[in-house]
Amino acid sequence: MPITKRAEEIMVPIEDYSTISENATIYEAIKVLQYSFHRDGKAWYGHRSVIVLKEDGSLTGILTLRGLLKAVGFQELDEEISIKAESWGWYFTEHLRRESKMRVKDVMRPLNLATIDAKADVEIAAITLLRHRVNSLPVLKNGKPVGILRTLDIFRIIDQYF
Amino acid sequence: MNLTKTCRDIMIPVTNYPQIQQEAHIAHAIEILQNFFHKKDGTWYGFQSLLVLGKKNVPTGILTLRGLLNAFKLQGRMEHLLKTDPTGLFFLPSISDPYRIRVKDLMRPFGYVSVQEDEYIFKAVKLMVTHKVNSIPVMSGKSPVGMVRTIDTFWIIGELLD
Repeated sequence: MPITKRAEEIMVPIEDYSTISENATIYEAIKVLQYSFHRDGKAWYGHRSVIVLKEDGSLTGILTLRGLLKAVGFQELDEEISIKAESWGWYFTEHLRRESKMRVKDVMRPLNLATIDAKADVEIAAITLLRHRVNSLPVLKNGKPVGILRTLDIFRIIDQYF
Repeated sequence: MNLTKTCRDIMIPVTNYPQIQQEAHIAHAIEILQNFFHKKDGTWYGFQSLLVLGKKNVPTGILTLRGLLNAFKLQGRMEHLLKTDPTGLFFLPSISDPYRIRVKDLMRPFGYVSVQEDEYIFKAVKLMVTHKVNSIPVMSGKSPVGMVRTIDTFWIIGELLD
């Protein structure tokens, strides 16, 4: 029987993540996320989300890779019948320019939407990730965010349970 | 920057992808995926899904980290029921053997979502956003030839903005 781990034991500390202001543009967010990635052959390494901060420096949300893809308007683009696949790149950049007023705070996942307590068992964390259909959860200790727990972090210790 | 990249251009060929038999025990899947993970600059990276092979080694689906989270949840429920009332096992989702979760019980079959190799990556991104998945099989007709991942498409989008 494995020793049950707690969220705080397997999370990534919040300091390890890149941060961005809630008032930054989507373009700036893409650049920040790109900067946190590195390539090694076909494999990418680096964190797949960015911590969003308010003007006073407090954490207010999390911006994920898929959230960004959604933010740049792929679903809306899909509904524009004028789009031809061959020129989607052009339409995409035009769309992003038109939507340049969109800010990170408009598309981030707010901090309070899905979180996990630092003392929670990993089983609870797994169920929370599945229920919210997300791959990362802010970890709170005494109500204060201290880290991010990802599907990947549970995967790394999951072999003890089988 | 070439605006007409296809899924074929950015996919990882199936021959380079880690594979597992659909009858294998989930613990074996975890072992294979963990062997592909490495730590670099403080972050873990590696493949986040496995190609599942059926009879005569024909690919039939993929097993993702989310599938493994579901296995983890199921395992926890089974252990709890075995300790309390084993008859409750009959009410769990139909798995081939309630004492041994197999890959085929939790894999995502190819029929769920896929993209053709000559389609533009725009299509793959749309499917990732609408289906909330991070990897999509690439098909040549009815045969799987590769896999595209969120991270690969995100990088192309970043290049578009440069």
